[in-house]
Amino acid sequence: MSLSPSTSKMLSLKSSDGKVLEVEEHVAVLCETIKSLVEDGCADSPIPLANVDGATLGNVMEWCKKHADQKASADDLEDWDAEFVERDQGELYHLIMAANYLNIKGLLDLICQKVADMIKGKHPEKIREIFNIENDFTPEQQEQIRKDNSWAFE
Amino acid sequence: MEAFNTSITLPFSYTFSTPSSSGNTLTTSSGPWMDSRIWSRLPQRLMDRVIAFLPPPAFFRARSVCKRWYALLFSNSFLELYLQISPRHPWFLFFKHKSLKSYIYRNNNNNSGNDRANCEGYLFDPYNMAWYRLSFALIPSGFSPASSSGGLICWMSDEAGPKTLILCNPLVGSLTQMPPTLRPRLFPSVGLTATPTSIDVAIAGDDLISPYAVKNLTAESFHIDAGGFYSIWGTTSSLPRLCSLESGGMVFVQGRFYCMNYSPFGVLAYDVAANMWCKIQAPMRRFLRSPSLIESGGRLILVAAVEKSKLNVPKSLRLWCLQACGTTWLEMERMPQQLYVEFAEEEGGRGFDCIGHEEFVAIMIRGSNKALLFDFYGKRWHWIPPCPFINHGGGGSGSSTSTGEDGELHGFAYEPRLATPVTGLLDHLTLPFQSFN
Repeated sequence: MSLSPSTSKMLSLKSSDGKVLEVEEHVAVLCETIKSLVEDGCADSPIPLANVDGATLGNVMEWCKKHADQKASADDLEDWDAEFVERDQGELYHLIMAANYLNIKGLLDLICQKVADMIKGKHPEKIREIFNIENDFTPEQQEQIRKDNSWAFE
Repeated sequence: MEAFNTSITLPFSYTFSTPSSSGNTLTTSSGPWMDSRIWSRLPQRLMDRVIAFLPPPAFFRARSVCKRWYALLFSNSFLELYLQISPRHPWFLFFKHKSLKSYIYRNNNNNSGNDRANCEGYLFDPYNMAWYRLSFALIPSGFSPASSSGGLICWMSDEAGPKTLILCNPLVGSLTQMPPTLRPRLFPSVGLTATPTSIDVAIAGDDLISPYAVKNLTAESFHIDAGGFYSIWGTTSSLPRLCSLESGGMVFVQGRFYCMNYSPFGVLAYDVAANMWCKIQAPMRRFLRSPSLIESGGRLILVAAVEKSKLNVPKSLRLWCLQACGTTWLEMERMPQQLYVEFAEEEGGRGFDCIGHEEFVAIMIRGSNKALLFDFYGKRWHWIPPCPFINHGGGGSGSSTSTGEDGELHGFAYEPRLATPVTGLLDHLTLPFQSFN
C-alpha cells in the first residue's frame, strides 16, 4: 500500500484497441479496479482493459500520475484539474466512462462536475434534447412543476 | 492557509469591483453547445451522478425534464449518493430585518399578523452573485429565523415564554419541531450546529425569572445524535460573571459555540463536550465598533471597525482570527483604506453586521441595502448587487428613514441541501413529547 515511487514496480495495461501502456504500480492503483487485481495477485500479465481505448487510457493515467504525486499541493491539483477537463466532449465522455469502469472516484467526480457545469444553465427542453429524454409530463403537470419550483426559475 | 499568518496584507494585493452595470446575474448563461450524439449514450447511473453535482437551483429546474428526474428528490438511493458526493455550497440566506422593537410595538397594538416579513428568504450565491427567493410560507406566524446549520434554518417563537424551535429545510419544505426550552425567555441568543448525524443547540440569555429589572442570565443546551445519545434541554454550567449577551446568533467552531459579550466587548465561548463557559478577551476591545463573530473554514473570526482617536492608527475594518491556544487573536485582513472610506460613508456610523461561510464574509450595513462581500481566497472585496426581490423604497421619495425598513437584511451562513435526514432523529422525540404534555 505504501509503496514509495522509487521502488514502485511497473504494470502493463492493455487497452481495448490493443495498445500496451507501462505504468508505475503506485500510479495505476489509483484505479480501484486495478488495485483489487494487484491485491489479489492477478496483475502479472498485461492487464486487459476491454472498455478503455488507448487514447483514453493515456489521459486517465496522466490524471492518476498527477494525483499520485505526493508533492502536489491541494491548490496545485485544483488548478491542474481545471485545465485537465478543458477538452472536447468526446474525450470527456470517454473519460467519464473509463473513470467509472476503472472505479476512480476522484476522476469520475471531476468529470461529473464538469458535465454538471455544462448543463446547469440549460433550459429543461435543451437538456431533453442533449440526453435524448422524452418529456413524459402533460402540459398541466409541466406548468405545475414550474410553479412549485418557481424560485429556481426566477 | 499559511498565507493568513502575515499580520498585515499589502493593500495592492486586493482587487476591487463595483456592482456590474448589468445588475443581477440571475440568468445564467446557457453554457457550451453539447452534442446529443455523444451525451445521449450516457448511462442512467452516471447521469444521476452528474445531476448530484448540479447546484440546487439548476437541480430544481432540471426536475421538469422528465418524471424520473422529478422523482429523484424522493429517491433514497439518489439522495444517499447526493449526500456523499455533492460539493459544498457556502451560500447565504437573508431575511428582511425585523427589529425587536417593532415586534413589541406591533404586539401591544394587537396588530395581528398581516405582517409576514419573514415568509420569504433571499438565497445568495456568492460565486455567481445571484439571488433567489425562497418561500417560508409554511412557517407559522410568530416565529423568526434564529440560526442556521447543515442546510437547516432554525426558527424560534417570538413570544416570551418557553421557546419553541422549528428546524426547516426550505428547499424541500420540511419542518421539524423541537421540544420547547426549559426556561421562559424573551430574545435569547441561539446557536445551532447540525452535522449529518447530530444536532446541537445552545440558547443563552435572560430567563425572565427575576421579578426585578435584573437579568438572570442562563443557558441551556440540546443534543441528539445517531448513536442514540440525547439530552433534551439541560441547563448548562453557569455563565461567566458579569457577562452581557444580546439576542442574536452564536457561531459554532470546532466543538464550541461563541457569541459576543457587550460592554466591554469580549467573546463568550461554550464548550459543548465539557459543558463549560468561558470568556475570551477581544482584540483592541476599547476601540471596536460593531463587532461580529463569524465562522470561516473551521476558524473563529472577529470582524469589527477600529476607531482609535490617535492619528497614527487609521480607522478601518479588520478581521482577527482566534489562534489555536483559544485566547489570542491574530489580525488576518484589513479592509483597504480607499474602500473603507467609501464603506464608512455609506454606513454613516449606523453600524453593520457580518456573517461568514467558508471563504466568504458578507458585511451588511444597517439601515441600508448595501452589503460588501470579501473573498478570502481571492482577497477580493465586492459590493453585493442589491437583492432584486426587495422594494428598495425607490423612486427617490426620500422616505428611507433611519429605521431601515427599506432593504435592510440580516442573514445566515446557509448551505442549501436537497436532503437533511438528520432531522429524522427528532421525529422519534417530539411525538411522545406532544402526547405526554
